[in-house]
Formats: sequence, structure tokens, C-alpha cells
Amino acid sequence: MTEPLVDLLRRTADAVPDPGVDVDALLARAATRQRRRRLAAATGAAALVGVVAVGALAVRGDEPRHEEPAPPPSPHVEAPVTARPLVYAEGRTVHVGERTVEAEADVQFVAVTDDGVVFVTEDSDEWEWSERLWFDDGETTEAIGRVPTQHIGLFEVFTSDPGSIVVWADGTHTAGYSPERFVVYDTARHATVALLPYRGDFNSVVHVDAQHVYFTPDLGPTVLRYDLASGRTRTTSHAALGRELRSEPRQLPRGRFVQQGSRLVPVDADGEPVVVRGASGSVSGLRVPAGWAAPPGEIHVAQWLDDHRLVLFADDGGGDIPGVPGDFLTCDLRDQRCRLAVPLTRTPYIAPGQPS
Amino acid sequence: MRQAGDVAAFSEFVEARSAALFRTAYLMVGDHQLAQDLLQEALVKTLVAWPRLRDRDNVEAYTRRIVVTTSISWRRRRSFHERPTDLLPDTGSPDQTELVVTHDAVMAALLTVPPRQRAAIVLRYYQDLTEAQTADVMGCSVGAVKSQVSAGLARLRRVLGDSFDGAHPHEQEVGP
Repeated sequence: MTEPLVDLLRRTADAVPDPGVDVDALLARAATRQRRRRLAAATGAAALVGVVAVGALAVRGDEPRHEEPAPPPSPHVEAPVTARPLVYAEGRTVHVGERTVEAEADVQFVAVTDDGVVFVTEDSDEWEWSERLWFDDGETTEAIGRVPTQHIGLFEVFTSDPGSIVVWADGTHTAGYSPERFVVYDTARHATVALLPYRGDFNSVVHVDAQHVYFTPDLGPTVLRYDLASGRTRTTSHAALGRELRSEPRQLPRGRFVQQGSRLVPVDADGEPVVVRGASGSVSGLRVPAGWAAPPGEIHVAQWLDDHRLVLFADDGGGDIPGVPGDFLTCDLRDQRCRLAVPLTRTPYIAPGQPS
Repeated sequence: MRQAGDVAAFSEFVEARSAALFRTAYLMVGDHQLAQDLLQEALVKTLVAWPRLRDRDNVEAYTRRIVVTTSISWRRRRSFHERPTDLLPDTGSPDQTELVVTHDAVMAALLTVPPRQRAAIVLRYYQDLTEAQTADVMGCSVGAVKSQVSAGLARLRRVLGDSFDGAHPHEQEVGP
């Protein structure tokens, strides 16, 4: 019997039970994203045209009108600037500059610290709710923890840039996807240096630097700052955090780049022009290689190589699982030029990236 | 109390439309849990954009667009459901004695269709959008929609045989 495709699809779709949607959880996730966007705006990455993030629909308490005096951050220890290699993964292979690391399973996420590469592999289903997190320093590869499984979107693994700190929600005991603490790991020391218990209902990391972890416990305006040197957690605010971050040399826009002729222009999530700030100043556009055309997808910042050079990943926007084919460009803020580092192939890549 | 009003309006929108959006997500990804994740991701993006969505009549269209575009470009844990393959699944292709194609067979067949083609088919045949509306959701030309639908239907026929009629109820089926 021939059945109209319309009916076939409706019958198939109607066979599944209705979803359960937790509106409070949606509000919490939206609030977290707005906070990160505001943070990016506060650090100066967004704002050629006075764009500040979208309204505070989901935030039940916004920035406090009378900000609490925030304790000053610990003095930054000046460390030599370390150039990081370009990092990406394809299948089980992690590319770290000129060398490669062969993982035990397909790589789902990759990030970089001053000491090496951090990556997540797809496990067997023995641990349904979490995946294994690894660190490779060029000599050894070691399992350093487990992170909650992400089916859609990025794994929430944060690295300091520059620095050696990695932070993730501890998925070691997540039988039901309910982490209870953050793990803070130092890749220079090859050691877990802190376990931060959750303090509210919607715990979320907002920023990590070489000496601090900033996280929020719930939907309110409170930001907690854990100081690795002292081991103390103090209360601060998003506004104070934004001020503290303005001096950092590597400020990533939480948006994307669009190609306008021979230039790549950074824009925020709303499509408004922004600037990218590095140690050599701010730029509002980068020149693409001669003859290069962006694939019909999006162009994102993947990572910084040092205080002057960043890596852009241009995907084709329609790639299939698990990654997407695309070009990696290295761009130097000093001459405002980009060069093709890894050209698009049919191989799906996993590019570095922070959750937004 | 604009914020409280917005939260209430968003809650009403979720209550009224999440089931329909979820079914679209399900046809795109073929797995209940993944479809739920996809729906939640789309609703969060809608929530973040809510203050800019002046035309509240189009909120569902906005969210549906996110469902579709996210499902096309997402990254997921491959082993959670199926792995991409060029091999057609053994869906027990119906012979002429079978009356209907099973739900599982339809979903398995859909998952052999590449994401863009699958999106075009779901939007055209399940959502009953016009070619122009489908092109708008997918961010491509009407011609691209035609070719994606044609290729997707051909793929479905390889799996499901002649068990379905690919003619659109309101329009003639188009060629590439």
C-alpha cells in the first residue's frame, strides 16, 4: 500500500511521547549565557556600537545596584608568555602543532593549556552519563577525570588562557547526571589542585584564569571567586569581574566573524560589529588570504596561540556528526592578516572552543 | 514587571508549542533523548533572544528554525544512537503484502538521509511549509530546497521502496 509521505511522517512523529520541559532549568541556562555574554562585553570584546547583551528576561536578580566591595584579586604572577600550538582533532587523532596524539576513542572535545592538550573521548556505554577527560603534555597521556556527557553543544571544560588551569563539572559519580562539584586541575603540576563543592542550584563556571576560578551558584547576581593561591572563595560580582579582566591580553569575542570582501569582521551574537583585543591593541577587521572564501558556515575563534595571534575556524555550517569540515586560519593582530593553516578537507574536525 | 510578564509569556509558549517543536526535533534526530536535548537548546536560544522578538506570533517559527539549523550542524556523541554509514539499514523494506511501514523503519530510513536533505523533507512534508518558507528556515535558495528534497526523496525510496507517495499534497513533486 502506498501511503502519502505526509501521513507517514506524522504517524512517526505522533508515536513518540511528549517531552518533559523544565522551564526553570531553561531560565537558568539562558541566564548563564547572558552572563557570559555580558562578561565578554564588559571586557571590551563587544562594543563598537554600544551593544550590550540582550535583556535580562531570565535573570531574576540582575547586577546589584549597589555593588558589594569586591576584594582585590591576588596579584598576578608574571609568567613568560608561552606560545601554544594549533590544536584540533579528527577522529581519534589529536593534532598538537606538528605532533599528533592517538586517543583510545573518537575525540569529542579538545582544548589547550600552556602545557599541552586536554581532550574528551567517546567512551563505551559503560558510563552512560559521562565521558573521559585526558591530558597530554607531549610525553604522556593521562586520564584526569570524567565530564558529564553532552549530546548537543560543547562540553563544559574551561581552560585558563594563558595558564595551566582546567576546570570541569565532576562527572565521576554522575549516575543520574547530577554533578556536585567542580574539579580544578593544574596541567603544569599534573594534579587536581581543588574540588569546589556546588553552592546553589545552578552552578556554572563563568571564567577561569591562571589563578582564579569564577563561578555562579544560582540565578542571582553573585559571582564566587576561588583563589588558587590562598584556597579561599570570596564573593564578587560580574561588574567587578569585568573590570578585573580588562587588563588581560587575550580577549575573545563570544561571537563570530563574517567575511566582507577581503576582510573578516568580528561580530557579536547579535551580528553587531565588535573588536578583538590582544596585547598589540584592538582590531575591528582582519585580512583574509588572497583568494580565500569563507565556507558557507560560521567563523569562530578557536584559540589564541600567544598574545598576538589567534586561530579562527571556518566551518561549512552543514557538516554531519561528530564534527564539521572547515579551514583553520591563523591571524596576527599586529599585521591584521590571516593565513590558511589547515585547509578544509572532507575530514570532520573538532576545533577548540569554550562553551558560550 | 516586564520581566515577570516575559517569563510568563515564555512559559505559556513552552506549554503550548513544545510538543509540536519536539516532534520536529524528533524527526530530525530520531532519538527521544536527543530530541529533548535539541528542543531544550532551541528554547534556551529563544529565551536569550526573547527581548528582540517583537513579533510574538513568529516565536514558534524562530524556535523551529533553531531546531533545524542546530540539528544540521550539531556535534553529538555518535554511539548514543546510530553511527553515520553509507550502508542502508535493514529496515525490512515492505513488500507489497505489508500494509504500513513501521515507525522504526521510517525513522531508520530518515536517518540515512543527510541532515540538510532530511531538514528539507521534514519542513516540506511534516511542517507543510512552502518551498519559499523552507528556504527561509534553512537559509538557502528555493532551488537548493528543490534539489535537497529531490535527493532526500530518492534516498528514502532506496530504503522504503514504493511504500510512500512523495507527491506533496499541495504541489507537484519537483525534480532536481
